[in-house]
Amino acid sequence: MHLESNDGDLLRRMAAGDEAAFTTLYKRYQGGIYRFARQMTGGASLAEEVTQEVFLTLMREGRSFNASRGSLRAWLYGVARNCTLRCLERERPYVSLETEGGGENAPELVADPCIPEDGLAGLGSRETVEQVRRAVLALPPSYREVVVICELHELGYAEAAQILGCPVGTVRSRLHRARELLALRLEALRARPDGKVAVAKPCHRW
Amino acid sequence: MDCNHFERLLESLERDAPMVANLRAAALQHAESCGDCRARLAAARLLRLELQALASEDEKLQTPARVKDNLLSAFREQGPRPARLGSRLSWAVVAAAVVLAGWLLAEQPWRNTGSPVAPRIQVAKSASLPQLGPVAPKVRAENKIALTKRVRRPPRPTGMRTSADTADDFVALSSGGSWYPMGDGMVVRVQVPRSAPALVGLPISSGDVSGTVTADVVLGEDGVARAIRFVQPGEGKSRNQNFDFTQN
Repeated sequence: MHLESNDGDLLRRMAAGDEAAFTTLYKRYQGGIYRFARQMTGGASLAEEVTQEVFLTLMREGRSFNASRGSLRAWLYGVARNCTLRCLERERPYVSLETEGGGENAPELVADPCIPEDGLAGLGSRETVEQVRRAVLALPPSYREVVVICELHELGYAEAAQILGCPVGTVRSRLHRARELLALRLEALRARPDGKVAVAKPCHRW
Repeated sequence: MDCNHFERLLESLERDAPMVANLRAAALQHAESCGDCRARLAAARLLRLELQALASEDEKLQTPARVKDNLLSAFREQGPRPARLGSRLSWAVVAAAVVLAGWLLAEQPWRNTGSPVAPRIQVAKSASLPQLGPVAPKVRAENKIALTKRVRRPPRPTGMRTSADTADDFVALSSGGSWYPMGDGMVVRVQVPRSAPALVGLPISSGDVSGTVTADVVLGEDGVARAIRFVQPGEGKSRNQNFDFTQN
C-alpha cells in the first residue's frame, strides 16, 4: 500500500494545503457519505448539503481527527449523521411520506441485472426497490440509521457503534427491532395497491 | 431446539454467517418442522435480498459535481491552515500568569528570603528579548518593601538611561530561590493585579490597589517566567520609569 493511500498521511498533507490529498479523500468517501445522507433524508438537495458540510468540516477540523478513536470513515459518517439530524430538524419536523421518493430528485432507477428475476419476485424491479426505500424512510430515525449503516452500507457493528456513539449491543438491538419494523411495513406496502405507507411519522424524535 | 433458541440464531442463519455446523443443522431442522420459524427465516432472507437490491440500486448515486467544485474553491481560499498561533499565544499568556502568580506566592519576595544578588540572566538569539543588564536582576531585595512604604530607588547608571534601552526596568524573577539561565524566549504582555509591583519590590503609587496593571513578562523556552516589568497602559512605556520614588 502506498503512503498516499493512508488516511492519516492524506490528512497531514491536506492540512498543509495539498489539494490533491483533499481530492483523494473526497473521492474515497464522498459516495458513501452522499448515499448515507440521501438514504436518511430521502432528498437530493439535503444530501448535497450534508455532503458539502461534512467535507468542509474535514477541512476545518481534520487535524483534530484522532485515529486511535476509530477510522476516518466512521468519523466522517458521524459528522454526516449529525449534519443530517440538524437538517431534518430544520427542514422537516414532520415528514410526509406522500412526498417521498417520487419527486424530481428521485434517482433514475434501472433494473439491476445482478438481482435474479426468479421466484423471489422481481427484487430488482423499480417498484420493489422503491417500496423498500419508502419503508426505510418511514422508520423512526434511530432505527433508520442503523438499517442504513449496517444493511445498506454493510458496515460492522463496531464501526456503527462508533458512528452512532452507542454500545455495540445497542446497535444490535436497534437493528433487530428495525428489521422487524421494516418487515411489517413492507408487508403493509405490498398489501396496498398504491404502495404507500399509510401513516406519516414524526421525524424529530431521536 | 425450541423457537426461542431458533430466534436467537435467526440473524446468523439469514446472513449465512459462520456458525457451528451442528447448530446450523439443528436450526434448519427446526425450521423444517416449525411453520412459524420457517416463515420467519424466509421473511428475513427476503428482507435481506430486498435491502441488498436497494443498496445495489443506490450504488449508482454520486455526489453532484458542483459539490466537489464548491469544496475545491473553499479549499483554495482557505489555503494551508497554520498552527493556531493565537491560541498558543493565549495559552502562553495564561501559563505566564500562572507561573508568575505561583512564583509570587511561593517566594513572597517582600519577605526578603531570596538571593540578595541574582546572577545575570543570559538572553541570546531572540531579537525581541531585551538584554538584561547586570544591575537589573538585583531583585531589589535590599528594598524591604512594605506595601505602604515608599523607598528611594537607587540611581541608575548613566549608560542605561537611553530611550532605546529599557532593559534596566525588568526585574528578574527566581523560582524556588534558584535562578535559571535562558536561551531563547519571548516577551508576553499580561494584566496583573495593581498590587503586583509591590510583590516584586516596587512601590505602588497610590492606595488604590484594585484593578490591573499591564506587565511584560520574559518567558523562557520552558515557559518559566524569568523577568517582569510594568508598563504604562497605552504608551508602551515602562511604568517603572514613572514611579514616584519619593524618599520617605
